[in-house]
Amino acid sequence: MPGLPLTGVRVLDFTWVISGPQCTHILGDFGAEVIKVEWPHYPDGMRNRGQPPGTDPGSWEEGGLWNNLNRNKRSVTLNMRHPRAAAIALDLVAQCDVVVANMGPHVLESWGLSWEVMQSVRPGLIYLCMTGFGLGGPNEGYLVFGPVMQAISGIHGMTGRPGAEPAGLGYSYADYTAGYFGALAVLAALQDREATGNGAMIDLGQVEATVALTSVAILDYQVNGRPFSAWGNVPFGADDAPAGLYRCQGEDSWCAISVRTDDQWAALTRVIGRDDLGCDSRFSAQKSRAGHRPMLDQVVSAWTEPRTRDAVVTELADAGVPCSPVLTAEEMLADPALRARGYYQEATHPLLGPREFQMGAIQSPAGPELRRAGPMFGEANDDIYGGLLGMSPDHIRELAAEAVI
Amino acid sequence: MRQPFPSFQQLRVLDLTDRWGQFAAKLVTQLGADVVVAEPPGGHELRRAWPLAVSPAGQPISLYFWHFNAGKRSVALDLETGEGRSAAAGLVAAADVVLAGADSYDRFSATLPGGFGSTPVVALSAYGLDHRDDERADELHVAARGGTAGLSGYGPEENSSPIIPPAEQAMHSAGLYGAIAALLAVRRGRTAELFDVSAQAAAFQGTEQLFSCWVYRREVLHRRGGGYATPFPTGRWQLVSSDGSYFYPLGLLPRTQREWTDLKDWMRREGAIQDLDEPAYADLMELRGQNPFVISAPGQHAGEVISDFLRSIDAERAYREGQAMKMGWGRVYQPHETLGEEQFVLRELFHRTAWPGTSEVYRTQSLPWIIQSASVPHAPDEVVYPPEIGQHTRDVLDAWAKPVSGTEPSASTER
Repeated sequence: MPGLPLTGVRVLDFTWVISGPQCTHILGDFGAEVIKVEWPHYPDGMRNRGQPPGTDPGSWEEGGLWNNLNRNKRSVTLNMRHPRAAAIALDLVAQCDVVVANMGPHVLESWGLSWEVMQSVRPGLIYLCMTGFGLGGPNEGYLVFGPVMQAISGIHGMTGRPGAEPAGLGYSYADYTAGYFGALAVLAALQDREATGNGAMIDLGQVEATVALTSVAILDYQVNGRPFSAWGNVPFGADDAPAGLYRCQGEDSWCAISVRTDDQWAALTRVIGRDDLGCDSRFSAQKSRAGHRPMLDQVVSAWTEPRTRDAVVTELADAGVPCSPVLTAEEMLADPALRARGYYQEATHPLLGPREFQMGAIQSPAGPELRRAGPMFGEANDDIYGGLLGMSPDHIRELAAEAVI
Repeated sequence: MRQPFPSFQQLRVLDLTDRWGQFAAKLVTQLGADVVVAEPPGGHELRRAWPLAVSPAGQPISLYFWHFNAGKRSVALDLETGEGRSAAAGLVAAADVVLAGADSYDRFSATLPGGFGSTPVVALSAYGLDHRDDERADELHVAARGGTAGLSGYGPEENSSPIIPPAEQAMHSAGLYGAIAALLAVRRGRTAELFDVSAQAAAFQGTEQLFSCWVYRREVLHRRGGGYATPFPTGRWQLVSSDGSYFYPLGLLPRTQREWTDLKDWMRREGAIQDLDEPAYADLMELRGQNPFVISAPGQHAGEVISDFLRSIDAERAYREGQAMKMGWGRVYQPHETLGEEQFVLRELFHRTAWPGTSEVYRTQSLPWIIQSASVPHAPDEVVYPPEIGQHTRDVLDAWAKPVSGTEPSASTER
């Protein structure tokens, strides 16, 4: 089958930071034409975050995370606070299948781009409105970033050692999750439109998306009266013991070890020179080993700490005990499983040069496909305003001179 | 109840997933598709998965299976028999898309004449179908090899150790990608295409700065208790409030001068302003500096005074009153506390669910959106049940033997 699944779908992208861009880059990776609308004088703060050393800190073109999140998109500038901007934006809406925004509640409405107005110029439009708590309700105006969403939703409090202070997550997982949910919602609405001809407005609450990640904990609380208790580094619901992350020789060097079967337990005790534990009735069965995790963790750590991580992994793997290195970012880039599946693809950015991109979790003949690096600021003004909207070069120059674009 | 898409009732999805595909199949079910879980005669292996409850008849109930399978239909299939293989082949042929695990993908490919035929397959596994590693196919090892394990945990001042994400987050991320892949596959039609979803790749994708900090700056991230790893070792943000609850003020200093004035007014009213009325603390931009992770000495002091203030009041008040003045702060809730959150109640985030044959009704998470569309009416808050083993075998085999009625698509409105 030629082309990508979303070839022919055009997306108008009023997104910034992480959640919205994550949503639209998935759509772009599978073929959608994504037109990112940027404010000429106040661009996405991610544009100058995490630049390579030596680059101009004021540059809007060399942010590493921004480049990764905004590949396969075009960029136009449009000052939505200018009186002439709304009409231009509506001309763009009329040419698009999907509008995505994560600008906060009612921001597009304040620009004259309410759902009703956008629908009137583009029947069948799909509008994904991503906000912290969704539209309406007492929390509508709350200001939430990824880690705060994680705190409010419960996922932060679930992370940590048993009985200890919550550790929380070290990254804005909630933003990415909201982006995935957003892409799913758009695809579902496109599918529905194929069947019914109707468009849709999707009012997505990003905190609500994070609540979905608390999994079965809410049901368990209601049925068993049991508040969630952190599992530390034991896989959720597993009886594995010993199991967890163990410190190895060197700075912040760790490995993962999990013992599931009696054979693995026997192999572990043999390798670490603790045959005495193999004969100890307290540890003869999986369930009873699980009841002695803290003690077993001490035993295993005493063996791993004076050894290098790679020596531990090799020795245990040879003995048939499941063991993995905790990979660094540098090692993730060399990981054979990720490399083999084409997780990294390369595109050349005008200033950053050839760069690799993280292409998501799907591998298929239908994509993802990397077609271009993150766009330079307003690089598509001539193509989109001239080519798509039919503006003359003089008109485009006049709009630029008046600070409309 | 959050609305499914009525048009999705025509979408047939055969669910052959193991643990790695549970969230994907749940999402497609919640979208409204006709999802049929195929189980061996003794039931799906996850019917015995933790956490468990006890039914009124004294039988164990897996809340795990319940949570992920509510709303599906169940067909019992015995692939050891000719009848079972024939039924399986019929279901595969009738499905618009198959969701599979690594084992079921291999087993159905090997057992059924013609394998999956032209039906597209979304296979979800720990490391992808080409990198089977059954001994290490769990959340612990995927976190170690997916970049997430080193980012969260406790810092040097707290007996440093990393912590993996809780409650199968790699599975959840893979599930979202799996559901996306399922809809992409449906959009492509009967192309016999395989969409191979890796939980390791899904985990790594969501690690925010890990990849870009290394690739663009050769920086590693430092984890710390209370969350958010940064390229520079920084102080803690998580606090213990006066009521003993944890509180998470992401970036103690506000974003605008107006908010700084409001916050100082609040602290002054509470007698907690200390020395922040001195001129050195007047200009927020002087305190913040350009880099949010490199705060000036006066900025650090202001942060300490704000921390003292937040420790002196209860977390709920700090959260609500802080948010009222646009402070991006949050209380650290336990998952079950979200059930009583007025915002979620008003927006009907939770829908009703029950175990078959029991009278107790509970609440569980819906899809995180409300839809306005002429084709998506508001749905009544019906109770959603998980299926019993093979409960729908005859119905499904009969129904799926016939083509879906009214499947001719309307004229596409795409350009």
